[in-house]
Amino acid sequence: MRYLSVFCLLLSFSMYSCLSVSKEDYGNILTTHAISNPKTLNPQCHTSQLSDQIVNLAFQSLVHLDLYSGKMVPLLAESLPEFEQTKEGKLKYTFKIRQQASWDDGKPITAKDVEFSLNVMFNPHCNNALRRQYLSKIESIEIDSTDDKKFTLVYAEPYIQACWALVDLKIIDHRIFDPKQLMKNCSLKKLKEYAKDFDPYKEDSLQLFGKQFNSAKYQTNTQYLRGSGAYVIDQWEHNQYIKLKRKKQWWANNIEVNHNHYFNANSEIIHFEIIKDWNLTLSALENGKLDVISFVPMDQFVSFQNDQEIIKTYAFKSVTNYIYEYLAFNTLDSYFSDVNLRKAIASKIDRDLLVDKVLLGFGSPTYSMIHPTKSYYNKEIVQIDTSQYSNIRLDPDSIIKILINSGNKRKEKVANFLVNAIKSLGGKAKVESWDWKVFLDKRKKRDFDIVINTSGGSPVPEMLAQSWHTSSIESGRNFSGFGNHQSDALIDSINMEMNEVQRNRMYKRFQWLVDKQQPYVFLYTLNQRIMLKKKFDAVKISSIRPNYWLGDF
Amino acid sequence: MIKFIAKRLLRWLPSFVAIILLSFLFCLNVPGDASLSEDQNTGTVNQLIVPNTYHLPLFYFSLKPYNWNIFLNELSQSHYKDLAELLLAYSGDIHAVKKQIRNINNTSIALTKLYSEGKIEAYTYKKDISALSNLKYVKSLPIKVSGSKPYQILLKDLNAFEFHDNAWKRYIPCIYWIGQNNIFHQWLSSLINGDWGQNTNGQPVKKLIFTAFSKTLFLAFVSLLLAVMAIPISVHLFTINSGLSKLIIKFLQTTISIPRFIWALVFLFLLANVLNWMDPLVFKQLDRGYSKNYFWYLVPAGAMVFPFVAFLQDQIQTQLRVEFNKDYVKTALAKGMAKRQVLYRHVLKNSLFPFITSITHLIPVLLSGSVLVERIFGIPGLGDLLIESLKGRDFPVIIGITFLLSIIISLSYLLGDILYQIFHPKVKIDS
Repeated sequence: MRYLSVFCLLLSFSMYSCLSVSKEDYGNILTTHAISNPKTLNPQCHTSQLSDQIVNLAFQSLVHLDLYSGKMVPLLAESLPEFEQTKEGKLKYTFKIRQQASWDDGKPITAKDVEFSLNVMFNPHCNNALRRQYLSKIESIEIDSTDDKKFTLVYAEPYIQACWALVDLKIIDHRIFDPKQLMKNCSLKKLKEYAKDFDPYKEDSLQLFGKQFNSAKYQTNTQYLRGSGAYVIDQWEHNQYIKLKRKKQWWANNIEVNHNHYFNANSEIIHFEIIKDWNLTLSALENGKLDVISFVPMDQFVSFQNDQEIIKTYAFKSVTNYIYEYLAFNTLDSYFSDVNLRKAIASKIDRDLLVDKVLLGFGSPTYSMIHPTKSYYNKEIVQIDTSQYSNIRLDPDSIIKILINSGNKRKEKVANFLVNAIKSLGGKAKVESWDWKVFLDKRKKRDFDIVINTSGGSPVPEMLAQSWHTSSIESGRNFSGFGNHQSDALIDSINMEMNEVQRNRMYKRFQWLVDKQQPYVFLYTLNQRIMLKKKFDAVKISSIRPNYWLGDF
Repeated sequence: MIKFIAKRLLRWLPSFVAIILLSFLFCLNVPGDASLSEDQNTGTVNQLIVPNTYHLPLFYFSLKPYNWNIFLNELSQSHYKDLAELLLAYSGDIHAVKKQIRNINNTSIALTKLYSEGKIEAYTYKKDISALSNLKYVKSLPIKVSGSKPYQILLKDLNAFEFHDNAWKRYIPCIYWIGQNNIFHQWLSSLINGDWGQNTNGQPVKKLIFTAFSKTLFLAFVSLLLAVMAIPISVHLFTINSGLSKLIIKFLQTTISIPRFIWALVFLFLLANVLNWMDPLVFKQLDRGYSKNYFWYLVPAGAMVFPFVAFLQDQIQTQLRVEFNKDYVKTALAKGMAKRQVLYRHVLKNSLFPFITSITHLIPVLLSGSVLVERIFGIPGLGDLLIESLKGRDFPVIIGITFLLSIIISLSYLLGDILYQIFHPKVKIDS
């Protein structure tokens, strides 16, 4: 009994001392929420939105997309590039790097660094294929012989994302990423030749560099993930937190830049708290432990807006996002190769009802892969007239497979709506809800009749090839198997059309083509839900992901 | 005792191998792999477990259909693998199958060329490309399309493939000896040499697991300490035997049926949101040195053992009641010893044997059962790592954790037996 009393006494004493710790103020720290641990923070290999956010704080590209205007702004480059189209049909962009731009040790960032970053991007042994594809049209880099900060990028042909794709090219220091100088004698031309007969098992210096670049050292070790950005990735405790620290001697500390939020670095420390359990996140929010959080579940967002305690601490922002959800039919090996059946189902989808019941109003109906706020959104595409397809009945003996990923309540609700729509046409449907990896596998193998999918976009002109070209049927994102010569030719023309007016006309025509075939039924665009502490209420929120620049806080 | 331990370890060895093998087989056959992502292809599961062994078979021997051929392993990375297997079932001639796969591949290339030149329609192209690698059309190959001469020659070659009805051979199992050159052997040899491999991010699995394990071990240790609290509580409740004690016992009994994660949620909500005592992110603060008060581990530990304390209390109480009815207790009481004296001097010692087994059985439960509790409190322990690895199909980590847990579970049972023999030499466990 005595022992028990002593134990209880000790427990109470410790609890008391804990209270004083939890109330401690940790200084000028911005704490934000991260739902998962990023796989990598390598500036060329990262894939998630979270890693993109962190990489952008630690590394810099030549140009960047302004979150608030949606326009291109110079970052490492002194100004936006000069653009020239040659007689041979090639495209040239001439850049000059800012005079002050330097690495942490004061060594200037030069055109050689850009060349090295490009070479790494084109080394086929490096796991950066996702970003490489957008830069693949770059043919060569010409460095000015009189100015080591000036260079010209030559593109093989006109390409609408030529300059936008450079946002993904983070400039890296060869002294950190290639201390053994394995890539020293490379050129873009040589690398492109090398990639043509690519043998992943051929042992040479490029393979050696690839192995090193793909290793944990350059993917997750914060010592080696150093760039020219305002912050250093100071600590990364996997599955726990990522801590970014503002550099004391940052090259851009003393330069004057107007209206470019990428040069703002207000918080000394930025903490990304990796909290995977929503209950813990809720608890942290209620205790005011998080300064900013995105992707708040819709029902929770509404409930917080009515919570008197929460609204004392937090401001609520909801902005339209470039994310949209759609139904994709398997037009190749299924029942839905008949366009009339696809249209019959599409005619039964009430988008307004979905926005109201599934999104609780946090979204808007859409009829196209182009965001409705864009000037080239084809407004002529509207809801299919139900009466036209009222005679179509689905085969009552076939069961339509609707594929969704498990754990996504929104998609589950949409699937239920869809089941009812199919029932109203006399058909039967079964919802197959699978774990994410199995879902991806089944979608890749086209093992579905209808799949419910989500896609993202940006203000940048869309590259339609990946999702809509017939060449993407087997290996890309063309899940439905859409496409013909006409649509392929149109996609190729859009990709090369540098005249905005002409291009917009083509985009509208493409939307019309897709609508005619109805391989997808576009449902709605989603609104982002953000909660931020009231003291940060003045921080601007954008429609472009990640919706805010953490340096502004 | 040494002989006993050695015997137990030897007896445990086959089950340990079985656990590892099963988890290995499970990992290699589970649908979806780590290479699948929204945007890029980074590798395949076999490569992730043992780098550069993608072409190797899984185990020392394979149980395959009678008409199987090792050539099919060479195709393990090809999307023609399943097709080749089916073709072999229909033909039985491996040379013909090899030739046919080559033909299909060439036809597919030719078809793409024809389409890009505008010589065939998109719909035909899509249908044919899909059919060429699709099992559903295997017997109707090739698809007749109008095309150029080279393509017609290819189609002729495809047509030359003879379908014999050898399908029955697919249902006759046959054992094929593979030898040491297999994935399992290479994985095991690396493991014995201390190399647990790398996860999908290229991080060393051993470091990942042991970092997480240290946190789970600490949580398990605190939980175990709390579980020991069941002894004084049970004894005290037994001695007072009042209305209040009965009420407490009833309450404890109801807690048995409530799962750990519910307790975790209740504790979190109560301490962090209602009472505002606990910082919900305290375990993250501990990790980065902002807080040094490890006493907060009592909260998740409490959630872990709360139902177990009730179970132990019930067991000890029952045992105490049984012991109190024995003759030696009656004699002691008759001699004039106080009830409390008899309890602490004689009865307690004899009543604690079930507790020894229960507590040693609790160790594996605490280590492997902390998954949800760790998740709720944000403790980056083994459970949290396991969930993430399962979600990401990070098989090297899953196998590593299974390997570690199987050792711990086996050792804790062994520890239970050893303790039982130490405290109760009359019990011959081996018998």
